[in-house]
Amino acid sequence: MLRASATHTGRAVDLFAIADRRRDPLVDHGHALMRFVDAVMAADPGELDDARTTLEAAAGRDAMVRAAAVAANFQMMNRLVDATGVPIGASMRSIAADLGLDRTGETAVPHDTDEDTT
Amino acid sequence: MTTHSIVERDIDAVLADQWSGLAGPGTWLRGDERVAIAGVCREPDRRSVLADPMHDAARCIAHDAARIAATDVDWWVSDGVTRETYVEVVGVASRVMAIDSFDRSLGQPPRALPAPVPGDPSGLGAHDARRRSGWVPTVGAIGPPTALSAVPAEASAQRQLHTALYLSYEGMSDLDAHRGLHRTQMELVAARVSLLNDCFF
Repeated sequence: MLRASATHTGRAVDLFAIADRRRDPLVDHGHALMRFVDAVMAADPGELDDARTTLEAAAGRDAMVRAAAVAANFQMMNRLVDATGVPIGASMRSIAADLGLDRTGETAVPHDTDEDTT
Repeated sequence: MTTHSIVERDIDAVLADQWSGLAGPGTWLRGDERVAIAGVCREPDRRSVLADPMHDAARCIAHDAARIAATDVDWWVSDGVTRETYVEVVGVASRVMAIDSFDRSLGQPPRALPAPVPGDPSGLGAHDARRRSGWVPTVGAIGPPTALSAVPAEASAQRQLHTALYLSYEGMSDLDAHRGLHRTQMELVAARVSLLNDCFF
């Protein structure tokens, strides 16, 4: 969806920045957003306070709150799809492979099939 | 005193409603069982199997979801948790983790667990749900919007929270959406969270 949104709106984005924090995502306030997400996920209160303040100063409170909300949503959705065996589509697998993130074999990633197991 | 933005007030109203709703009777679980699941999700992960299979499932969903395999779900089912009940556990646990994440992100303390509301579970599951290619029964093909569809009340709560925090499923087709952040910025956040959760989505 990141690539789709960037393409649709004519914005540049570096997908490799998702996995490599040294790269610039080329998204407005991208570094501040990534730092904030990392601090949320690490549950480091000191770093989170700094990251929150930095993001809010740069992008505004609504932006910071929405970043917190989107992160929260994907905390929910990641667990939901992983816990119910939602299959990984071919396009998703292709993107993961392009980014060097396809770790099939390390974890039980269900493949997309229409098999009826009833 | 922090001034809450309009975005924040809208989200707060939904989260407050969702949090109190966790304590009521669900479809297959009583209110006290649902609150207990929320409590398990908040316990530090000791990576040890819990005696109660429902609590063990909740612990894994909260702390180790990326490593859950079909055999784990089979194990919980063989230990007495029906797949429909497991769907409700997934719904409760994943929403608790979302709400706690949001509060932590804003520097707020975790909400107190709500007092359980007495009453019997409704038993109103989706009668036309059946297993397809996923590990749980669903109405139609399994995907993020339908993963909880065997338990309509959980699917509805998840959809409401998804809409408040991010976008409605219908609104996801708007690749130029702006809700405090532009869609591209939202997707950058989503992608990084998913990466750190070891999740392909």
